[in-house]
Amino acid sequence: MTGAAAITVVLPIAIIWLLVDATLREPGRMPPPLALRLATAGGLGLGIASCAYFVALVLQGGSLASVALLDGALAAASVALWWMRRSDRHVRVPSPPWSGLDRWLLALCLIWAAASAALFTAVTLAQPVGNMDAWLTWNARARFFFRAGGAWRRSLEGYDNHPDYPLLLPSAVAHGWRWLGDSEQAVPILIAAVFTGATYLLLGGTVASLRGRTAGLLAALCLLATCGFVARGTWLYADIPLSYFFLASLALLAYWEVRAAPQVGALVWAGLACGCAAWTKNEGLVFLLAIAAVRLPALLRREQRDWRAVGAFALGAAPPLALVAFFKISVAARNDIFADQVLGDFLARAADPARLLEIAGFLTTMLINSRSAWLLLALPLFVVLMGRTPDTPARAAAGHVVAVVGLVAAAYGTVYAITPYEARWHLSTSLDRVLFHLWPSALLAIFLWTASPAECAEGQRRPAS
Amino acid sequence: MLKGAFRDTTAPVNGQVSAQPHPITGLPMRVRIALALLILAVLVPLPTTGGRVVALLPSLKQIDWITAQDRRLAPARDALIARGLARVGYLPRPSLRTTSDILADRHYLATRYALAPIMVLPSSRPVLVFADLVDEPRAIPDEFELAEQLGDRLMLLRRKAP
Repeated sequence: MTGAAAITVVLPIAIIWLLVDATLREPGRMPPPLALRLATAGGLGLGIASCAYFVALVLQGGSLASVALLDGALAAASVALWWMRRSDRHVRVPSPPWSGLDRWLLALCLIWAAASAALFTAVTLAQPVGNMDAWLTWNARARFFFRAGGAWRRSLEGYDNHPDYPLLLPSAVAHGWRWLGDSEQAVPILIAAVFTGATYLLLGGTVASLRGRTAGLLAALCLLATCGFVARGTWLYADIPLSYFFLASLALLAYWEVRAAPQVGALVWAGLACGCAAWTKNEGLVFLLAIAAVRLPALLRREQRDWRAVGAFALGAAPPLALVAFFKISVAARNDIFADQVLGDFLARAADPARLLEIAGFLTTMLINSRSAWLLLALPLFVVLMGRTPDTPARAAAGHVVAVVGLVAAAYGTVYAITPYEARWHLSTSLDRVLFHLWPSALLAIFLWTASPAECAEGQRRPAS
Repeated sequence: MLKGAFRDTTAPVNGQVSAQPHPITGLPMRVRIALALLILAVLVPLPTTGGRVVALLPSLKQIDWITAQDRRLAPARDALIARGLARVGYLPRPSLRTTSDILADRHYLATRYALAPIMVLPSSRPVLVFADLVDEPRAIPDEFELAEQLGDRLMLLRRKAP
């Protein structure tokens, strides 16, 4: 049964792989690294499967025939586009040879990947249902969708703990179950594994593509060595998928920006990832606003306003955002933080210095006690010693990522300041998870901005010549 | 395959590959220190991660409580669905006095999860009430009568007419 469950998860990824492979290539240029293409197809394939399932759920109660029809149409379109773009696949551009340092870093990555895979397997075998919110909220909803079909709203109206949470994860799980014909626990576990693994690959692949292989391997290694990341993956919550979509959107935008790609395929995928973030958790809507605030002025300030780029991003974001709008309007669920609150209450809590100090103190203690404290200490030293890259587009892209991450972090901080819950309880139940939403994107910014070892060596050689 | 996954695509558009790999000894001292620091920092948590995997090994042969409850309640769920029920009440343990108590009770929460898509309301006021008496020797409370025996001390109770 687990093998069949794997097929239900891999199939939508394979379909989207064809689309990604066809649209991320540029004629006459080396394709993006396999890691980047695989990771893009992995997470976004599940995102699209989730969207397709929800449409089938609303229109036809999520029947197998309706799911098969939508998946089949998507597969046909993917195969057609892949076939039309087949000539671009024959580009062979040599890649620089592997240095001894790169081989060592790859070996370390493999050791960490094996340790992370062992930890993921051991935890999910010991506790296959995940942490409490997984079976109480995320997979409970998937069960309602799969088992109640047309009566899917029943679970959300006055019954669910967080009825306003968007539905990407439950719909993706129910999509796999519909094909399988059974609510096998292997499906949510495999989906969690794909999102966790795809985040490592996406970070490493993007940095390798834009800043060189050594930097890519170092970036992947830093995320692999962040022990809490894989542990949160085993919880089967929506936090790691959200972290993936944040990274995917920012990484693909950076890819388009740094490579100065004439094709807008990467932008469509970046938009889709941004829309999927909003379809995953409410924090995704904050991310969408942050992206718009940072990127739109930059695009529209140019001499020739780049409406084509804006349009491509919006085209990708539109399908999941349409589902978010439908869900928010049709279910009209209350948000536990903002419902029944007045502005005066928010302002009074936000202006309380004791509360702000408590938040800062909690964050500091958490970071100091983290298993990755050494990494948090070493990274700033690494950045200072390596210095900034002379690659201006990469630095600009890093600046955009920092701005988006900063805005989202500020929004998170504001929510902790105004929450109607007791601040300590709210922080202790969520802060570690929300930090992981932003951590892979923060690593992307660090390795886009920092000089690579090759650039440092070139810089040393230049004055002597 | 592995090396292709992290292919370096920063090569110029004309396809010429100028840079030979830099041997680590050829890198400036500050770069060597930076790399050593970062590599050391990523190695520190590795033994702890290995230790956590080893610590989990004994629990792999056991079935966790939620999964066990889920399997135990699965026939009851099928029976309730076959009865055409969409929602039922819940008979809490006597120590649980308020709705908040019930909503925080892991037996109730596990029942909710296992019986989905049947909605299990945190109250014994509805006419039909689900009861799990496996941990309790008590009999059916006076205000209820047995509507259906669901096996393994799981029951559907009906509130008696006043």
